[in-house]
This record gives sequence, structure tokens and C-alpha cells, in this order.
Amino acid sequence: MDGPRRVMCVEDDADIRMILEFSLQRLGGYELCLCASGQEAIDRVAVFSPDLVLLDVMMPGLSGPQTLELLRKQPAMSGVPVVFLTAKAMLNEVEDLLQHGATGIIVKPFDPVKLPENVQFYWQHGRGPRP
Amino acid sequence: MAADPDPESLDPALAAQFEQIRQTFVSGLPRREREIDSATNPGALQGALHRLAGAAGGFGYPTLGELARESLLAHEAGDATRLTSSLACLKAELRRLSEG
Repeated sequence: MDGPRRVMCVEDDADIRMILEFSLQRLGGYELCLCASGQEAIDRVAVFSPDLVLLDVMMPGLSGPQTLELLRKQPAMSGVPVVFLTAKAMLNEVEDLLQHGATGIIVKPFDPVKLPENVQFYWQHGRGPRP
Repeated sequence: MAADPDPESLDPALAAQFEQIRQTFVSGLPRREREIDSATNPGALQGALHRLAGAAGGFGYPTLGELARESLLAHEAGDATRLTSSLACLKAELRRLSEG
């Protein structure tokens, strides 16, 4: 399969992590690394070496944008697409998030049946060197 | 905006798994209501509403998600009257689903 195999999901809500697991692992067949915080993602990213990261925007502790900034400093994250998950989708917020270096935005709630297709799309269109 | 997954599009084994995680979500709704009730600062209430707004639709409860989102918007707008009203609707829906 030409597509991502290893997806890291960073999300503080346990129920949303559960539906991410159902959607991406059971439906999509991806190998997942589920992280409950930005710090956990930073601690685990080098070992897991994801092909793509889904990153919640609003989390206690490190926010999504703060986490992205720290993830981008890690060699394992070179060229890896990062897609923000957000419950808000105001246009100005989307522009802000993309300016942080995100590949794209997925709005919560998402359809768990369609999420694997969205991940595939962002992987195909989002790879490459990043500043 | 709200997702409304169609379990009928899944094969029976996956549909059964999805139903199981839906039930886990529903069983956690009283905890979410307590989080909203016990929020002692604006950030805690915002976080509780934000998480519920982001989760509910994905489990097939778009009305619950929209009510949480409406409460979140009222909270962020600082509109106390609208917040009181929307929270009452949200909590009624939480109880309806919990007692389902």
C-alpha cells in the first residue's frame, strides 16, 4: 500500500482517543501511537517515528501549536505531515494554524468511517521538507 | 459540521465494535456532566465543553455535540444569559442519553 503505516495521534480526551483507535487502527489498518498530551508525543516520537501526526489543538499543558513547534525540532519529524484536530474551524484560526506549519486541519467531530481516507489524503499531499 | 457515522456501512463485526465504544462514551456522560457542573474557573468549563463538542458527533450524537458547541460559544462570548440557557439544554440532553 502506498500510504502511511504509522500514525501518531495526540489527543487529551480519552473518548476521542478511543474513536481514533477504532477508525485508524481497526478500519484503516494503521499502526497507531496514541498520546494523551503534547509532552507524551515529544517523549515518544523518536522511537515511534510516525509517517503522519494528528495533533489536537486545545490541550492542557502544551497546546497543539506548542507541541508542533517542539516536534519539528526532532530529526524523526523531518518531512512528516502534521494535521491539526480542532473543534473550532473559524477561518482566521485555520490560517493561524496553517502558519504554524501544519499540513492541514481536520474538524472535530470527524466521521470515523471517513477519517482513514482523510489521513491518506494529507499523507499524499503533505510530505516534504518543512522549515 | 457534526459527523454522523453510519454503522450500517460497516460489516457486522466492526458495527458491533463501534456500538461497544458508543456505549462506553454514553456511560461516561454523567462524568462529563459533573465536569461541567464542577468547573470552578472559565478555563475548566471551556475545556469540558470543548472536549464534549469535539467528541459527541463522532459517536453519532450530533445534537449533543451542537448543544455543547452552543454552550462553548456562549461561554467564549461572555454571554451569561445565553450560557445559562444553553447549559440547561445541554444537561437535559446529557441526562436523556444517560438514562436512555
